[in-house]
Amino acid sequence: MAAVTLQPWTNGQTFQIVLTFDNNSTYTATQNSGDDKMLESIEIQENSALTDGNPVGIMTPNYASFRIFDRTGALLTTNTGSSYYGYMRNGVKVNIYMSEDLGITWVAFGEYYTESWYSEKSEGGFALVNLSCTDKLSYIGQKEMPALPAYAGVDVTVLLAGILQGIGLSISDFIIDPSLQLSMLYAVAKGDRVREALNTIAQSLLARIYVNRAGVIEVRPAIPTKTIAYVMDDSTIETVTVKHNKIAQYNKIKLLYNKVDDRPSETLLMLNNANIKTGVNALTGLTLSKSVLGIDAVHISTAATAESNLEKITSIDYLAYQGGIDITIVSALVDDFLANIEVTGRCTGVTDAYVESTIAGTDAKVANTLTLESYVIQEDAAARTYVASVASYLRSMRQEVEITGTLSQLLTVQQYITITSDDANIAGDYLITGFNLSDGAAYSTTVTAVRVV
Amino acid sequence: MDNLQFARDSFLGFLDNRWVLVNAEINGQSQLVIQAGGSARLVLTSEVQDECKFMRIDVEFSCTAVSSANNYKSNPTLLIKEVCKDINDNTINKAIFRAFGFNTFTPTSRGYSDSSIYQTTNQPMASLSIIITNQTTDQLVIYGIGAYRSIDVSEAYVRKVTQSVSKGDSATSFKVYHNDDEVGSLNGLGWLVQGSTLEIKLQPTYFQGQLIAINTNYGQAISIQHVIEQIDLLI
Repeated sequence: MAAVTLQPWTNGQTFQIVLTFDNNSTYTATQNSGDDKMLESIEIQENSALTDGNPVGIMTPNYASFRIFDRTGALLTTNTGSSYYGYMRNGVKVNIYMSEDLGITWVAFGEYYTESWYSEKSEGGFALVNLSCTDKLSYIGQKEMPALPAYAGVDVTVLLAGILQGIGLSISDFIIDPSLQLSMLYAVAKGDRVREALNTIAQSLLARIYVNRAGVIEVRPAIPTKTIAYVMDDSTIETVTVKHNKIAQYNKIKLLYNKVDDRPSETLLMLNNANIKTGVNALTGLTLSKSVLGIDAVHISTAATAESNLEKITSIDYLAYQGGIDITIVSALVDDFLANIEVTGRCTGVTDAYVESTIAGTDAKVANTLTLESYVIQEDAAARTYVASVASYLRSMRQEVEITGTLSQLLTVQQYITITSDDANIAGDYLITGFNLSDGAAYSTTVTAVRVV
Repeated sequence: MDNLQFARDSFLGFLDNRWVLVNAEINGQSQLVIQAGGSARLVLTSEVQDECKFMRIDVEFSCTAVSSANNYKSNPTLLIKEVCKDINDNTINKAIFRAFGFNTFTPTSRGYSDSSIYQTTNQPMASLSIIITNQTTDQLVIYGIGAYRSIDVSEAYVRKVTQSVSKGDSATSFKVYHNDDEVGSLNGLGWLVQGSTLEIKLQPTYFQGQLIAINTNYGQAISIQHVIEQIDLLI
C-alpha cells in the first residue's frame, strides 16, 4: 500500500465517547456539542511496550482519560435518579470514536474500560465527571493462567493463541502476525498470571502486544517490516528531542535459555493416603509442582495381604496439561482402601544454558552485558538466532526520539512514517512506539519514535 | 541416578506364548501386534523374587495414533502390577500399580523407544503382572519390551566377598585411609579376607561406641575431627 501524505493538522476532528454500562444502557458525549452534555477534554496514551526497565520490552496497556460536563447529572455516582445509578463503577466499557466530517461518519479510536470514576456537582449547575480508563490488556494481564493442554513440538504462537482463547477470547479478538515464529520443543507457560506468560512470549518473539483502535489485540514484531504508512512535513512539529537511551549502554547480550535434554525423572506429585473407592475414581485438577515435559508414570502403592491383591486396581489412566494432571483409577474391590499416589516425569523451565552476542559499534569502556532469560527458547540454534535479533534490535532502538507538536491523530503505534524537512536532523523515516494525544482547550500530540534507516 | 547400572538381561524374557493376548498376536518376527482395543498380559512369579533398588522398563514401539501428545497421557498404557513381600518374614505386605504411557522422546527407525526408570521398594515380589492396553484406534506394534533390575555395585561386591569367607576367618591385611592433604585424618578402613583379593572398604559416617585405645604405632598422630556424642576414653 502506498504511503499517504498527511495534510497539516487543521483542527478538523471531533471526538465522541460511548459508555456501555453493565445494564446495557449507553451514554454518549461529543466534543463541542453544545448540548446538556459535552466531552470537554480527551487524553490518550498509546504505547507498544515499555522499554525503560527491560530493553526488550514489557507489555503495557494504553490509557485514556476524559472530562465530561453534564447538566443533567446523569453521571454523578450519587444521583439515584440516574438510569446509570449503581453501574457507574470500574469496568464500564468506553468506546472512542473520531469524525473528520463534523459527525457525519465516525471511526473507532479505541476501546477502554473505566478504572477510576470521579464526579462532582458545581454551583453552575453542571456535573463534572473525570474518567480514567485503560484498555483490555490490563484486565487480561491480571487473569489467572488457564489450564492449557501440554503439548510438544508446536510454535510458540500456538501456545499464545491457546492462552488467549483459554481466558475466553475468540479468534477474532486477536491478531498474531504470521511472520512471528518460534518452535518450542515443549510448549510450557509459566507464571500464575496471564501477564507473565504474555511478556515472556512477547520477549522471546521480540514482539509487541497491544490493543489497536478497533479494540483488537495485535501481536506484531517489535521492528516490523518497513512499510511507510504516512508521509508528513515538519510544519506541525514543535520540538524533536533525541532521548538519552539507556539501551545504548549495552555492548553484549547474554541469553539464559532452557536447553531441553533428557533430564532424570522427578517426583511431580505425591498424594498420601488417598481414599480409593470401588469403581471409577476420577482425581481431576491435581496440581503438578513443576512445568512438565512428559509424564513417565503414575505409581499407586497400597497395603496387600495376598497375590490376589494384584486385582485391586484394574486400570490407571492419566492426562496431563500445563501445571496439572487428571488421573482415573478403577478399583475392583468392594471396600475402600487407602493408597499413596506418586506422579513421576520430566520437567522444563530451567534456564541453565546460555549464548552470548556482542553488539557491533558499541563503546566498550562504558558498556555492559544485557542479560535476558527465556524458558520458551529451548534449542541452541533458536537461542543464537534470538541474540542476533536482539543485537540488531538494540542497534535500531538507540535512535529513539520524542516529537511534540500538532501532529495528525491518524498516527498510532507500530506505524512507519516519513518526515520531510530541510533540516537533516529531522528528516527521515521513523517507527512510532508511543503516541500521546490531548484535545481539550488545545490540541497537542507527543510521538515517541525510533529513527530507522 | 546417573551412575545406575542395570542387568544386561531382561527378566521378562522373550515375547512368546506366555503372554495372554486379547485381539492381539505375536507375529513371525516376534513382534507383539495389538489391535485397537486389544491387550496383552504377562504374569511372572519366580522371575521376580529378587529385590533391586531401581527398575528400568524399555519399550520400542510404533503406532500411527501416537504423537508427541502421548508424552502427557497414558494411551496406550503399560500397567505394571506388583505384589511385594516383606524382606524379613516373606509375607505379602504391599501392592504397587504403575501406569506408564508410551512417550515419544526418542525416535527410532521403526517408531519410538521409551525408557523409564523408577525406584522400587527394594523388596522381592510374590508376583508381577504386565498389561499392555491399546486404547487407540490404530494398531500398536511392540518390537521389544524389557525390564531390567539395577545392579547396586557395592552390595553385589560385598556379597561376592562375603561369599568367600568362612566362619572364624581372619582378615589377611588391614588398611587405614586418610585424606591425602590432611595427614592424621581418618576417613575409611579396608581389609582383605582369606581366599579373596577383593578388599572390603568401610567409610564410617559417624562414630558410636567407646574408643578404648589409640595405637600410635603408625608413627603419626591421629586426630578425631567430628565428635557426634560424648566419647569415653578408657585409659
